[in-house]
Amino acid sequence: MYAALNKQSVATKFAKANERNWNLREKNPSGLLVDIQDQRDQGHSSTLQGWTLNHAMMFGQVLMAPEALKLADKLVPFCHNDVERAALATARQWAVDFAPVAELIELLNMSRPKITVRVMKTLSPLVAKNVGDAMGVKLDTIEMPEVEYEWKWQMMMMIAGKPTKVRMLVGTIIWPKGTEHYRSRYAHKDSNCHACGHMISNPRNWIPLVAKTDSNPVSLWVGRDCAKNLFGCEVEGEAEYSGREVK
Amino acid sequence: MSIDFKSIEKWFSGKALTVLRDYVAPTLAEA
Repeated sequence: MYAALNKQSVATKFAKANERNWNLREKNPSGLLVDIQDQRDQGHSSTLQGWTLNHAMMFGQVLMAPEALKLADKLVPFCHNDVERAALATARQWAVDFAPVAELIELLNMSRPKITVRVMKTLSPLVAKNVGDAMGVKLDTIEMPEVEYEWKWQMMMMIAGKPTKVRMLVGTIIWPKGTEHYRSRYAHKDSNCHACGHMISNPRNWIPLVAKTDSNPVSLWVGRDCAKNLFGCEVEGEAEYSGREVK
Repeated sequence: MSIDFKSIEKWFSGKALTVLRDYVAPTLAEA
């Protein structure tokens, strides 16, 4: 959905036409959307900048539309000529058009389905043994640990330079008694998938698993892809997890 | 909530416009 909404070639073309080559060091530049700001003499002190609108249009950042609309209204008194007023009006219209879309997307985000993970649907015991040997963890059985889920308002996005809260499902994991953490040879840091060592940057891509072994259980934080492809998990929905053990 | 997709179509062109009409608009309309 985001990937489709971001490809706004008409808005991008407009934004590119309103970029300024700052290397030319023009004195008191004017006439472009990026020139409109509340402190033209000291641009670095500006708190209201047309650049923000231009950037949102350049990359089709639909979720910025509500803030962009407020910003466009505040920038009106700082236009120096009709060309700038026309550019600002175009940017404002972009914000007006996409504000309802942004609102609807936020509502859709809030209604994401609760995560469900079904483990080892298709994986044979021999494959599980081979995967476990590669990881340096004996995998007798793998389960999803018990998780208590709660809807929380999380800091998720920066909109117009301000952190904006989004409602997310956050899980707290109840590890089995005696669970050992970071036993996998790939668990270099708390940002690495315990199955492949790849860094996981999206907090919603983690799947917590627990391996029952001869001795204590072992926690496995794996990426969504490894959960599916290595452990045969079927994953639907998404969630974040709080209170994770730090390496 | 209803969205007038004609108002946002003008910011798209080419294949992206087709994706908007055929995929994004129906998905958001159902929401």
